[in-house]
Amino acid sequence: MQIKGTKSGLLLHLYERPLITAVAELRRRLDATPEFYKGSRAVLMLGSAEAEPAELAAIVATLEQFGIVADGAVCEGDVTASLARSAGLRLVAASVAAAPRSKDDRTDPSGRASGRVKSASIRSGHSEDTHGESAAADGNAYHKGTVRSGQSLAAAGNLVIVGDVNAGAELTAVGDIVVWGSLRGVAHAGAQGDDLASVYALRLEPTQLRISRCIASAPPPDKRRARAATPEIAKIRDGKIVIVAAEA
Amino acid sequence: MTGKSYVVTSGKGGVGKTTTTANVGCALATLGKQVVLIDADIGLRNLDLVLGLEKRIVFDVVDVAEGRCQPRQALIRDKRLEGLYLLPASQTKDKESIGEDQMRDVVNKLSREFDVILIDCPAGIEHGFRNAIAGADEAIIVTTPEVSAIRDADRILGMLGTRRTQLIVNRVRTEMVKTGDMLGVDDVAEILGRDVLGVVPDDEEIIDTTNRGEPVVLDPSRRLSKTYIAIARRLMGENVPLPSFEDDGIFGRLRRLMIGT
Amino acid sequence: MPDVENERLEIPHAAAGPAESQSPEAAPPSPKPAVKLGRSIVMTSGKGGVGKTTTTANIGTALADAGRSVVVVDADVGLRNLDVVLGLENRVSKHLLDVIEGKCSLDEALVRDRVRRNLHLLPAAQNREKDDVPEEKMAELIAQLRERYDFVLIDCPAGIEQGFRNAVIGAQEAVVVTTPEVSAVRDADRIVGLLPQAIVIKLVVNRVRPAMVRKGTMMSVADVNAILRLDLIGVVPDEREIIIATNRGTPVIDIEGSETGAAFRRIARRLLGEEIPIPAFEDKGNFFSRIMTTLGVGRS
Repeated sequence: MQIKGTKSGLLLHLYERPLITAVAELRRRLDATPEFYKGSRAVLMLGSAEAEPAELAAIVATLEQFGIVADGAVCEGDVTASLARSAGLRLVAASVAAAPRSKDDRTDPSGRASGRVKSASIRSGHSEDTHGESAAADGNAYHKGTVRSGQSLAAAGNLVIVGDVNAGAELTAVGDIVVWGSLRGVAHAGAQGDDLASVYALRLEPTQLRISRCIASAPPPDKRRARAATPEIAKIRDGKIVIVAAEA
Repeated sequence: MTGKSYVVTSGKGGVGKTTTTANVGCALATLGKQVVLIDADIGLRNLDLVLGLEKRIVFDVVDVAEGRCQPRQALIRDKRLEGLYLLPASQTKDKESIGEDQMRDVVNKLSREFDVILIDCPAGIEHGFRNAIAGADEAIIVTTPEVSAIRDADRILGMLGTRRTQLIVNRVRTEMVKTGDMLGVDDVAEILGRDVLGVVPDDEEIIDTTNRGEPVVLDPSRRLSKTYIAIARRLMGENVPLPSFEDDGIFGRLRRLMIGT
Repeated sequence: MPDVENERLEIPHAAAGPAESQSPEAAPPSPKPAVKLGRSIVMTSGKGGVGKTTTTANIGTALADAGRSVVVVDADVGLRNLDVVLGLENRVSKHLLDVIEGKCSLDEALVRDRVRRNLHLLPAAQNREKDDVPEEKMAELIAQLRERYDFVLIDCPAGIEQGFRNAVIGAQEAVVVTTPEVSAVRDADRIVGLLPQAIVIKLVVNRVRPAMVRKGTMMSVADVNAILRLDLIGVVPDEREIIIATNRGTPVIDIEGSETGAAFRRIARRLLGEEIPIPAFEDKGNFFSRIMTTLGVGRS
């Protein structure tokens, strides 16, 4: 059982079985600083192995006692997915925003409780960077600013970035991904199996593209140079990812 | 088969650990060995870039450690060289995402299938460093002939326990050694008290090849290619003589500095 | 597109939006501090070996030459190097950790530069580990130093672990140092993503080799900043003089005719608010041709 602090809340690694054994450890850790996490949200990483609904309910209840709201789960496979759903947890895609803690999290964990993606303010001509998870009821997320190497953003709906996505960054969306800038990192659209999802970018230069279950790496730079001068869309056609120029 | 694992470390950042890991790994593969390179620099991964394999990363060492996939699934097979594999690091996580026991486990599993395991160590002496050395049988310390690097290498030596440790002296500029503006290889070896596995001259080619993800060893016409092959040979126990550099010895301050520290 | 006059739309709820839409008068006046605090700047990079320590030492020295009081803090506990680069390793007795643990006073640990009286060094401990330094104590120490010096330059260790976090905690500004190499830029980008929101970030591109850029075998500064998108505060060319200077413990700004030294001096002046264009470097023997980029820099 591991608790990780991220900018948007907590991430709980709950891979051990029987799951009930995690409860004691969880309580012990939270007891050490009982007020610290109040108001935070938590995403539970449930892995793929089976567990009893009652065990999961015990975890959720323990969190509640410390003022933590469990509102999402990352599941690998149907077994844990249905478990999560039965507990009322929404499913979050695998590359969850797991940005390492910065000192800001220490001072204001409850500020992240609403889960709102902080919209950036523009300073001195350069966008501020934030990490976050989807917040709107329909699961769509909007982010303004450069997404830096090592950051990841996820959306339960569509994901729109106004800014660049640098190499080493990861985007995941259940729906479409739109990058109003250069997409240089890894983008996964249709993350829960939607073959009709697309990735749009002003400059599509990704390290890797994933749509639904398809993965494709970009062709080598010398071949791409000519093409990345115009906005492009990546989609699945005949079972493979293809890139088409956006219509004028 | 039980493969041997080596951590490629230095203490000081930027002396060429990753480039060394990549090129020595390639060299070993050209000699017919089954080699796996592990990037232990979680959150600041570069080995994939240097090898030109970044586009094919799906799983990484943290996924393996957390049981999200089997080691085989995370390995990236180099299409240019028979027998060369990469186990990449994660970029979106940090060094606390993995522990020493987990690293040891991963290395043990891989040692059943590979002749040689090279572990690319992060800079510094913190958590990431301890993880990287946890799985290693032996150590290769990369240093440049500069005061700061040697000092940090010396510090690292103290943390490697009883493991066999050998040196690679990187970025040697012969003309500067001759004028006394740079320490010679023998001096470095004497200060650190270890055998020299290899000497790599400073060469502009490295910057370009690293940027393009094409390890120098892949091109036999490149000057440094022979250097790394020689290192690989020595690592496997062959007696390959080191290149001779004429040192004029060192003047006062540098020597005093090192021995007096 | 229809022809539309630039009319102002009536927006039904003229609510106060995020901070940037508020007029300056709306912000509450900040209380005047009793002492003018110095600027604390962390020199960081992510990747090791790109020149953080050399940059810290040289900028610190240049700022001291400009008449400011400067302390350079070696935050690389366990792997200290700032003392060597400044040629002060023989004068180190106490260090940062001794001060934090109350084993000695700040004055006992500070080392004065041999040449510049207004440049001091707070050395790192060699035999301890970074986990030994609690973040809050580090923040307190930096705050203390800001009360005594115009500039507190913090030399950050490589990496993104506790050492990095400790170095960053007291800083209001950051200078990100990178070389024009793919790995270094990648690591710098990572670092930028980890720096706290409130920090003001500037960029230095170090070890530029103009001949290689021209040949197409090295990234240009423009290539680097197309990715990093930061306020560029300096471009430093690569020179063999740097190695010699470092080994001798002399700042490279003291070496006659060094382009690298001159570049560091310009960076210091930009930090002080001067607007100096970044020269486009030619091979030795040619004069500079200035490029269009003029840097606006914040108040000193």
